[in-house]
Amino acid sequence: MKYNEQSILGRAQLPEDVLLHLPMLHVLGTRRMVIENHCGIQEYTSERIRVDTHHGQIICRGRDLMVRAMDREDLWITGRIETVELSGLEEV
Amino acid sequence: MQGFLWYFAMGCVRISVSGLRMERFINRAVRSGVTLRNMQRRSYTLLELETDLRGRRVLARLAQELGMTLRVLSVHGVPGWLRTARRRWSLAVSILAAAAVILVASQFVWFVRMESDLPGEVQFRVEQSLAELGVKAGCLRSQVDTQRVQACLRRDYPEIAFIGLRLRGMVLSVQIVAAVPEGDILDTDAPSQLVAGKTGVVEKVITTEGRALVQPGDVVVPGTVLISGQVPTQDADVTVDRYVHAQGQVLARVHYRGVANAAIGEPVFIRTADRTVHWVLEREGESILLAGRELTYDASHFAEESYAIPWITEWWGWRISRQVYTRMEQYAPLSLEALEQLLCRQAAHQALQSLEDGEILSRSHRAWIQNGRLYVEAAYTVREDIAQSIPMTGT
Repeated sequence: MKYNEQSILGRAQLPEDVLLHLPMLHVLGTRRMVIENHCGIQEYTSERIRVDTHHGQIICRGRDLMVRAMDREDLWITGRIETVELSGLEEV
Repeated sequence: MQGFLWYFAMGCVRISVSGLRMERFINRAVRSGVTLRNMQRRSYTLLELETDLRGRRVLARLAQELGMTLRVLSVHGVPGWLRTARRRWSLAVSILAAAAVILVASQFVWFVRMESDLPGEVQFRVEQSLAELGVKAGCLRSQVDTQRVQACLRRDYPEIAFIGLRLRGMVLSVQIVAAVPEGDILDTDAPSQLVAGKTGVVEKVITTEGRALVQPGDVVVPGTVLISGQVPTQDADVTVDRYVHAQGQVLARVHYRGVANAAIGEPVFIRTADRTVHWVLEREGESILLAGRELTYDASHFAEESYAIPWITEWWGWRISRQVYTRMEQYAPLSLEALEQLLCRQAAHQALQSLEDGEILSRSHRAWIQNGRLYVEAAYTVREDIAQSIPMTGT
């Protein structure tokens, strides 16, 4: 079924992140990260922010981490980002 | 910038939330359509965040539902300011009044700064013309048509090569460049002769065209013909005068003298860099100091510059003037040697004022006392070219 979805999207050249709710990450150096298509925060400390998505979790580790802005779609994290881990994301 | 202004206009509230399961609170708030900003996790049970005014109401309801404590720390932006102003109406009125005054004042030109290399008399006339055209301190900014003023001044003043008016804020800058006067066009084909421009003793004559009438050792006075443009030519037993454009150099020893004097035993005043600016309000003989530090010494100060704002004068009979005081340092009477040195410099400056180009061969000075004053005369001997070209008449 997923194969069919992907092939249809590929042929139609439709944006996969919107239709499949795939998370999209924008990382600017080690200072800023924006996550689109998230489902909420699972854990929030200044050393670790665990973000839930439709297909798994994104774990951001670092120092002085802070959620600069957050709404239904986007999550903007600033601070000293050291590692970004994609955990449990299913292969789509 | 637009985002910041929108954020400021809409206002934001900084809130602290305390309780357990903070992540659940955040997720529920976001799902309710609230945008959260600058979230800081102070501790496991304490979170600080910013949101807008609508979000505050949603968060308050949510906190009550989840059994958490919500506290408003501060309100920023226009709504916060209005909330403060509601309690302190005099502050709000003052701020609005100040804003209105600034708004009105910014519609006028308050300073006209002129940079020019025009002679003083022409500059004065230009300033008068500017005032007639409406360009003066106190005029409305909207009434200053820089293009028209530039065109008018260019038309009226041939002495001006360039004029630029720039209106920046409350300051109008006028930049004027004087036109270089046209020199006499030298017609190299017209017959001319070289005459002496100064009194001197001829040392060397270099003739490239014409006939030299002087030789080294001759004493010449202004007007003496040095090189004539009339050249006799022998042509088959007949002598014919040929007229040429005389060219050459006549180097002569020229003497320059200058005299300076000063009273012996009197104190000397020398200007310092210590300046004080006063803004003074004057009306009917009374003057009030508006701004500027007090002058602690009266005798050694003098008003160097005074400038009135005409707009005030015209409308209310008041006069606001800007006065610049420069402090004069008073020195004790100089010794005779020091005074002689000072006068020697002044005499030398006076003597060489008219020297354009030349080689100083010798210098000397002498001093004498007459009627309680010390006189110093400086004498210079200079080697310079004294030839001046003038057209020949009657040829």
